[in-house]
Amino acid sequence: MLRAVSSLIPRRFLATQVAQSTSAEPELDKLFKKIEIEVRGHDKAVLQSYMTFVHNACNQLDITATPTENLPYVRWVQPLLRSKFAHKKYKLHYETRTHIKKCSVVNVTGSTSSTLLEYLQRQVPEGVAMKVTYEEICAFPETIQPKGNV
Amino acid sequence: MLNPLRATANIATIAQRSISTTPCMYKNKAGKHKATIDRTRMLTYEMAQKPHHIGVRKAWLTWHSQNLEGFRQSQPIVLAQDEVIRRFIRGFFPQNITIDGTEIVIKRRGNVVYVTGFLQHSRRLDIRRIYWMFGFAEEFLSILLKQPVKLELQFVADEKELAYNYI
Repeated sequence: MLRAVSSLIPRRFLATQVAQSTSAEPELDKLFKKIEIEVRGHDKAVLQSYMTFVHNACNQLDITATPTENLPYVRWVQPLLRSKFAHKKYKLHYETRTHIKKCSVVNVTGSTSSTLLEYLQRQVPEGVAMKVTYEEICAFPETIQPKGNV
Repeated sequence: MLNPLRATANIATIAQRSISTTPCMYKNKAGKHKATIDRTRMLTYEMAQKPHHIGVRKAWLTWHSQNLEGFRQSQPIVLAQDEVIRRFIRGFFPQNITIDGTEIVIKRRGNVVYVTGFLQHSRRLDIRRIYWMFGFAEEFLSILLKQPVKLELQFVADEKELAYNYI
């Protein structure tokens, strides 16, 4: 009598049960051929020091990174008249310079890139902006899959 | 003795002349301070540097990425936030601010706004009260600006300790 009852009780074991779905494939990690990091700021010295930090971090983590590219700065100019009235010849010249530096990280997986970028982005100094461009390797869609040896 | 009612009637009919007391914002004079005869005017390092030294000997009081090419999406929001922060600090710590509360540095790293600068305490330094005020200010500004705000204000015994020069 008791045995019958105990067999009806669902038992839980101390094992993690993996949900096995026969049709779904395991999610594959993304592959990136190149991740380009572009850093912009008003102060060249700050950008230089940030790029040395980026290269140090990549070296320590054994991630291949291309050397830093220095691009020419982008200038925004605002000329104003110096005097309240007349004297068009004399002006004030205000300008803003945005310095740009680029660096690329090659051949990484999605998980590596997300970890690395999170770490780098946490250390971005104030007044500096970062832009990230991804070049991903994906499989061809099914309609364009090459069919064996034709 | 004047009849008060008659006095008010007279004032209403007189054309008013008033003195405008806005701060001087002329581009030739902004950021520059005039010397006094007996050298009593105190200048901090920030104030002593002329505007053409900005970026060379002098740094900005706000640091944000909205002046960079390609990142100008929320310039006005950031300007408004800065103004709100400065006015709040000026109003919330009225006896503690130095030099009219103009020398508060606002930095932004990611989403977090750091408010840094010097505050002065007179001899009465009530540490528990200061901690409470900091906590309140951080909480209030975070809720208001919808971004985490951290205060990194440092205390100095007296404003005179920030002096760089007397002109």
